[in-house]
Amino acid sequence: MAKALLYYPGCSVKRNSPWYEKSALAVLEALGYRVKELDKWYCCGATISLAADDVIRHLGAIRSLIQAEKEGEALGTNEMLTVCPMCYNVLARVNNLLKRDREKLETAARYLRDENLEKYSLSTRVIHVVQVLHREREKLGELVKRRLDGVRVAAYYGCTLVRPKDVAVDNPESPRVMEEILRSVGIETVEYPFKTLCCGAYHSVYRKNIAVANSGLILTDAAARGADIMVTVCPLCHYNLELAYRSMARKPGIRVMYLTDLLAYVMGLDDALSPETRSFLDKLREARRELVATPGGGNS
Amino acid sequence: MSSKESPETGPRPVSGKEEGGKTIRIYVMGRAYEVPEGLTILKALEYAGFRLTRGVGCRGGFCGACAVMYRMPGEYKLRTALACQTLARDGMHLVFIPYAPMKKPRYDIEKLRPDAGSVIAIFPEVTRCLACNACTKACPQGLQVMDAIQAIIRGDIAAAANLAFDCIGCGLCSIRCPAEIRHVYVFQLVRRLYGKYMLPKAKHVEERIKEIEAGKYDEEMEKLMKLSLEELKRLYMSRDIEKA
Repeated sequence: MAKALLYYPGCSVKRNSPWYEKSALAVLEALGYRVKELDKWYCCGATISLAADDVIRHLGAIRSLIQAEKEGEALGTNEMLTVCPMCYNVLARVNNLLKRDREKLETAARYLRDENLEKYSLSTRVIHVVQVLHREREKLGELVKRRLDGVRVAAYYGCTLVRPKDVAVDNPESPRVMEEILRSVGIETVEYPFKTLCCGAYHSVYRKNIAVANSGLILTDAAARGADIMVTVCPLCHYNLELAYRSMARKPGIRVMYLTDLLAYVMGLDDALSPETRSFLDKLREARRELVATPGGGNS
Repeated sequence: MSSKESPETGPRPVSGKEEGGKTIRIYVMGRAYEVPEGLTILKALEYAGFRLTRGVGCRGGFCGACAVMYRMPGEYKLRTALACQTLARDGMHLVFIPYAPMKKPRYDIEKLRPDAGSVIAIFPEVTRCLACNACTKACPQGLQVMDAIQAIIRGDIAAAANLAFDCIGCGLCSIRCPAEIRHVYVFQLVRRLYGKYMLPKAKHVEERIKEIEAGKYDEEMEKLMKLSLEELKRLYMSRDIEKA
């Protein structure tokens, strides 16, 4: 039986990032996963409420954790897959909160009893797609169909995947998981100091200049260090990076895309790629191949 | 449900035992009334002498005008119902909700798109949904109200319109909503978007409209308009009726 994952898509992905969902699911399926979207799921809240007595604001997350628990039994898994790091962050933190604070768990159970919802027995494990890809990186390497020699990629993590520490998928100050995934499929990575700098998050709504400044810095620095592509796993980061790119008078020579877009490309999963992403990567690959083939070329 | 009290027919507070049959005691806006057992809340109110001028409509559970809230003795829960569909029970404390205060937005449906952005631009409060489900618990139609709101947030307008198809606009969900969502108008909008932009157009209707506009039935209509009532009746009775 294929390994199964309970998929929690999240509102942003469903509304704004259909290609991210497509490439992420295609890569997981190629890895042998059976990915089942939850029959019912609810907005996680996008940001976790930090008020001490605020169980009501966690109800969307709690309902989804319970749903995953229920569906997981039939599927033989307790892993609830997220692709959006905001969802991952909120769901994982609410999960941890309920494990730590049994009183809050009981409060939520009492409230949900009205709807005949079973008490959450804390079995769901919230997991981000990066974690799955990282643990499967050897197998990823075996599935490579196209090489991207000479293409240099900067991984951008942002905030919610690596902070706070108790839900971080890697070292919060110096994460490496995405670079390790990229290298496992033969892609050269670029080091730069801003991979965990905030993209500007929701400032893009009211104070665009903050998002543009932060995301602009991230892009220009990575481009200056020779990156052709910046990969992200977050719809909001992606939005802000593109926003900054569009706002810049002098465009840095760097393209923003999802990590799973790039993986789908090297794995030959072309149906999972938007036509623009695919043609960009085709052209870049062609250009770099010529450079690599020409002696003395490749030094830009 | 507002009411007029008149000296002859006005509400009759508890006046001892009613003649014959079993009676129950209900409390309306804090006052006790003795009414026969087995009446709907609406009929009980009228039995008690309330002449209802607002908050009553079809009496068949379709119009959503007669929303009430009540509590039962010994219970902490505030319950919701349609007065025409719910039996009055002994000890019921009632309040009328003839109108859920909600500002009705104006928009041009021609300029909207069937997506979450269009709905949220008009109803930003939709994104404040806490998933508490108070709306669903309040719905006298038994709709999955919260699921419909959640479907909008993720951009699934078709799912929202279908989940909210049977909404009768009583507004009880909106009164209970901590996010202050105006469900009645939100659902009206998603159904309009769904109908206008997502449902396939019925070809036969479009063709018939073209025929009408081209004047195909003008002559026949003219003839009908000139007929006497008797002639019309005869014509109606002798019409072709499709066999079942």
